Amino acid sequence: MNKDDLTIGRGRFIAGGLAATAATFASINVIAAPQKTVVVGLNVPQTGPYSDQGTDQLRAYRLAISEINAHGGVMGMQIQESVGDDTTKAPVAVENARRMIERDGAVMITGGSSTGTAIAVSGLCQEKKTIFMAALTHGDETTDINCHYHTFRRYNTAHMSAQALAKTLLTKYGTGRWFHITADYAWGHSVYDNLVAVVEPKGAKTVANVLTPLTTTDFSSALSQAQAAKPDVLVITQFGKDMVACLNQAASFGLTKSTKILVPLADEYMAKGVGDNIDGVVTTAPFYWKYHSDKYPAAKKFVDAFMKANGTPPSNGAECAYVDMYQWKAGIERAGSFDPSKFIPKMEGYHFTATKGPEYWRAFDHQGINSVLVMEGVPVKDRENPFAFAKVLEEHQGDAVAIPQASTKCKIESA
Amino acid sequence: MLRLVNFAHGAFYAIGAYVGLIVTQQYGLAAGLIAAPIAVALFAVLFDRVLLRLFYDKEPTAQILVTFGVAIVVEESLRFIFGGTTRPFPLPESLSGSFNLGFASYPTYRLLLALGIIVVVFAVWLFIERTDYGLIVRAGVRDRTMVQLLGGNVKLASTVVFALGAALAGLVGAAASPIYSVDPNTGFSFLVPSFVVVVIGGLGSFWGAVLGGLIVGELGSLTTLFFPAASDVVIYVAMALVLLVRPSGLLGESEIIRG
Amino acid sequence: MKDVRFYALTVAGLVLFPFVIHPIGGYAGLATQILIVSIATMGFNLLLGYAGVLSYGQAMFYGLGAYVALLTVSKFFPEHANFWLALLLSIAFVTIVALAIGTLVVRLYGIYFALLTLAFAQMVFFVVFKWTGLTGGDDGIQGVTAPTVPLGFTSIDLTTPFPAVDLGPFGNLSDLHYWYAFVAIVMVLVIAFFRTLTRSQFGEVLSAIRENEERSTFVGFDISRYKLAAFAIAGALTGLSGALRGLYETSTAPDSLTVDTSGNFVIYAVVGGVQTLFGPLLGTGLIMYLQNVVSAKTDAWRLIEGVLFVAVIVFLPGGILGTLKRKPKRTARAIVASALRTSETP
Repeated sequence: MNKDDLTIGRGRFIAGGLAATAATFASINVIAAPQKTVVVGLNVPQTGPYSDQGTDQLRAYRLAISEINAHGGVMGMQIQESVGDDTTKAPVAVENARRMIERDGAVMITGGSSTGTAIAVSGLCQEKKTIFMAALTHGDETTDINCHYHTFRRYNTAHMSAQALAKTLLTKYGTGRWFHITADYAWGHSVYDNLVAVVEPKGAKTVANVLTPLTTTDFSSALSQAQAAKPDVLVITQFGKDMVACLNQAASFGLTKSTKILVPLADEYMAKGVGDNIDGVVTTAPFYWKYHSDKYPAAKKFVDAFMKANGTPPSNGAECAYVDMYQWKAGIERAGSFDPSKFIPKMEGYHFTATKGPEYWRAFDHQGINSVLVMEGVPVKDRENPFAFAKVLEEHQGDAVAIPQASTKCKIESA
Repeated sequence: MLRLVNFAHGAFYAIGAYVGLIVTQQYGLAAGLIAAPIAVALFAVLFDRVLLRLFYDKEPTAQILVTFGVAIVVEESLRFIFGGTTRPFPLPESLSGSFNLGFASYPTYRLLLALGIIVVVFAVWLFIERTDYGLIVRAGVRDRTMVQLLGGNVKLASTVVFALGAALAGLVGAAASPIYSVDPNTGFSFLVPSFVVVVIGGLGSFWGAVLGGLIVGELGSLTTLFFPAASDVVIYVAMALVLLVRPSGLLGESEIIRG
Repeated sequence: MKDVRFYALTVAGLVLFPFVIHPIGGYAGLATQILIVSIATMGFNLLLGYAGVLSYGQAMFYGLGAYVALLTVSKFFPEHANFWLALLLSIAFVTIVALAIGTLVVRLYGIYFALLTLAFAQMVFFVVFKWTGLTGGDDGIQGVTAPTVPLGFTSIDLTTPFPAVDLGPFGNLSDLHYWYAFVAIVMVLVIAFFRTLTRSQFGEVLSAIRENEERSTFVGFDISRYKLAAFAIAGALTGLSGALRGLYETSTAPDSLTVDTSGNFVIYAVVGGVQTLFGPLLGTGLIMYLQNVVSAKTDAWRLIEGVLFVAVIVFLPGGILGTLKRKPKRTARAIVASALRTSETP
């Protein structure tokens, strides 16, 4: 008897569960886009090592979207977002993007934080013939060997950073023994190759390059090797929380005091996470809110709006995200159509001025050509707020440091 | 000790890390290190009494599954409550420097951590080997029925051991977080290496686990020295070899391994 | 006759599936993915449901399937990139790996089996992860152009959509690509294979092993060989699934080889119901639906998944389908039992 009761109970349990599930989600399709909206996919890491950068880009996208929607949308259509957390993993990023395109009908995907995810999403968007405005991705590949017709990337490349660093730094630390701790994926390899290519011919000697997987939390093995090697320069090619962990641990090993440290790419959140340990560390960035808002009114307007909305200044990834959204809107309106085949020719070779000086989209690889800042970290006591982390040593023009067309590996698909 | 593969062990670690972080922020590191193991032990008792109890006499596969499920629920609850972002676990100034050992300088906190672990290992060993309670536990692992017949409360003893194991995981979670930082996934990322350690040392063997830990650490750093690409593979090769050749582990008692 | 009805219903179900999920927020692409992943879950089910062993390393076969298929197309034979060759090489390679590893693991049981399969999967993960030259390391293999499917007289590009026909609340026929049709045909074949297999003597022996290993040995079956065969077949199915997923996504990354992926197959199969033919399909579909559709509504979808998983283990040990299916049997038994009792009373 008992058994019977139990069985019936289970049957009810299941039936009830199914009914509840159905009731909860039956409504889901009703929210499918009404006619006057257009969906864009915002694909950023909200978890994982680059989540700070991803979350800040999301804030910038939302700021841009609300501004654009308040001013009549894109060609009269209100922008509707479809958000995905790519967890800094390529397969998840691809799945998200696929879902945004297939489920939500997104006409444009944007986002980033990792070159690994950017390359993967770029491939999918090419297959799906959907525009991909890659935001924070710094590895060369995105617009070099893995470039695609539907992908545009405005953020600086590793090549640009390395060239800019070399121009500013070589006189100071060009020679000597260099020790690298490098993130073991596309971006890390790209930065390492570029740096070595510029500093070795000038006499720098590479002592070692320790590769660490993404999401490494304990760098003690790499750092004790660095400690034993007693290099002149320690290059930490890590990003996001990995860089925070690595630099903080380097400090506890006493390396920040004994060695010159280079972090080829940094942003406001990383600087906040490492506090005083960034003092004297040399790095690059495509945008620095303090520097640019002093210099350009458009940048000031953006930084102020961002501060007002979020209480913090935008990181450089957020700035790129914001401008990307506006660049997509402008391109669509120049094309008079959401059709990528009409949009892309209107973007290629297009010159504009946004939050930085004059810049343009290169036609042959869809790379945005704009300036690179070489900066040096300052201690916390010298900052007006936790995000005012550096002083600008030099600004380099994009054309002077970008990969020249003669040596690009990009073979872009024809329309 | 309980011959149970506990996927929730990583979850205990993660809970410890979060409790440690929150209490530390309010009342300092010492309070965090005390609160974490207590909170995790309480959670473990609850888990054992409410859920695991139902699976004591089921096949081990079902036990693995239920601990795996609880591990997911815990991880996702932590994500839901605290968000998915990684949280730094700041150390007090006094501990964040480095200590000069003469030949090299070494981070102070890591040094203290190593000493602390030695003390804890010794304390656990004392408990298991030198107290009446430990005796019941050790006997209970070997022959549950016999101990029950002799009047030992195995059920209580096994809950206590389970809670103790959980408390240790919680303590380590809180203590290691200043080095590794805290996020909801931390549990799972520590789980698999901990399996390796336990398997190599011997499931259910105390010194086995200690030895396993040392071997895994040494094996990892030795191969890093000679063949860095293989440093991660080699510990799993060792794990597989142990399972195939001596499934009871290096220091486990040999027995016929059955379901 | 019964067989005809079974297959007719199966085919009808597969034809309707991508449209039925449309009103509840599903979409055609999701239907394709669910079918592909279900093949791997069915393989896993052969192990847990029929042979009674818990493999925590199925990701190695899944990931290897994807890698071999994509490498066949992009690196091994880029000049003669052929869809069938990619599938064939993946399945062959994965089956050989499964046989090799299987020879070692089938001697173990319970937790030891789970831990050993986990160890092998971790080895495979790190080898693939570190072999950057071949596998692309952490970046994986990206942007492969999937070849068309040659059929002798013609060849088909699976990314072609069906002609546009408006189906009202069920979406549009053009949402569906040839990929779905292809995968659905594969699914029918896999179902037929699985059904025949589990109803054969082989399936019965496996079940006997699960129920009572000692007695089966006593009866004279060479248990190890049966378990090895089950392990290899499960591996081959999982490899096929991985290869299809790789070719469908045109990319793969080391994530496909992680413990998390292995764990997913466990969740899919257990939730849907092991020991049943369609349980793995149901479980895979349900969880992937949570992940792809419900995730748009709430971040807690994985919490829902975890709670669902624990609830199934505690309340429905046979899984959703397993419990539904067994119910009439039990009731029947209860009726007979009570009938007997009545007849006993004077």
